Amino acid sequence: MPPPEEDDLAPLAARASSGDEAAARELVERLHPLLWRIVHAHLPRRTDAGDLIQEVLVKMFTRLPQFRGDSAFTHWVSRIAVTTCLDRLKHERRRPELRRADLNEHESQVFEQLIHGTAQPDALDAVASRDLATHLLDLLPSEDRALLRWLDLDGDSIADIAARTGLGESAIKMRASRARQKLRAQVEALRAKGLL
Amino acid sequence: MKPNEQKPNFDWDTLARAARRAPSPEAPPVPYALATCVRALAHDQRSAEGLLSSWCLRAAFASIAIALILPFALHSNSDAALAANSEIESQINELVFAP
Repeated sequence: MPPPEEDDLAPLAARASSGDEAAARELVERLHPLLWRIVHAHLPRRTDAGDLIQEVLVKMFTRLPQFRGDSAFTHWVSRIAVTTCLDRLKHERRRPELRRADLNEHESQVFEQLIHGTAQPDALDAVASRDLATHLLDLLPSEDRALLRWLDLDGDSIADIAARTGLGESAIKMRASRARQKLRAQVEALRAKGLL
Repeated sequence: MKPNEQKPNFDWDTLARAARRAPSPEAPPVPYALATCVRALAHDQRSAEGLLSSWCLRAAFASIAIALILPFALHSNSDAALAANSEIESQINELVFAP
């Protein structure tokens, strides 16, 4: 589904804020794919995506009167969703380590190809690569994990991430670079211990 | 050469480029209970009460929260809404927390 159009959603939000039933329903339906994508990407372990989406919607509706239209409505809602997810993730410790036994056969195969430096992106199993990347990102603190997921896996632009998080563009680039270094260091440490 | 003597050559960028080719998981439709509750609460407090009394029995606590807060958010200036909200809250307390 294409992203919700900004021009449609801000008036909808205004109508929902004044108690318009149809507008509230349409707003939820139009925002659901976006919220699901954000929540699904940052879902803490043992948390139900539906519960988290509802939490985001509760916050959105309670704060609707505060929406002034200074930014696009979807950015405003995305920011609520991201903050909600990150708040939840803060209470969740990162996985201290990953072992080869935690990977399935396909993920393990992709990892081997990467380690031996022979892999080309087009030759790797895409789904196994995504799953392996998700396992590896779990080694990072929640904010680093979110940033690399947006930039490197979802292909979001730095401008979009800046709007979503309130961070400056250069800060995002710097944090992403450090997060990638941390990830490589983690993987190398696990390799050195013989775990991966 | 033993694994721990081998210099790792982990390449995140290649992995990420491969991972981006994976199809995006598709969002499910809006859950019926959520859509119904939002619609009802945004418009009609009485039907909302009716819905809640059956719905909250099987909903998680987070699901109940939306029912409690939405009427307040959408009709924050309405005394009737506040009264209905209080009534709903006491009903939920009875249903959920009663021994």
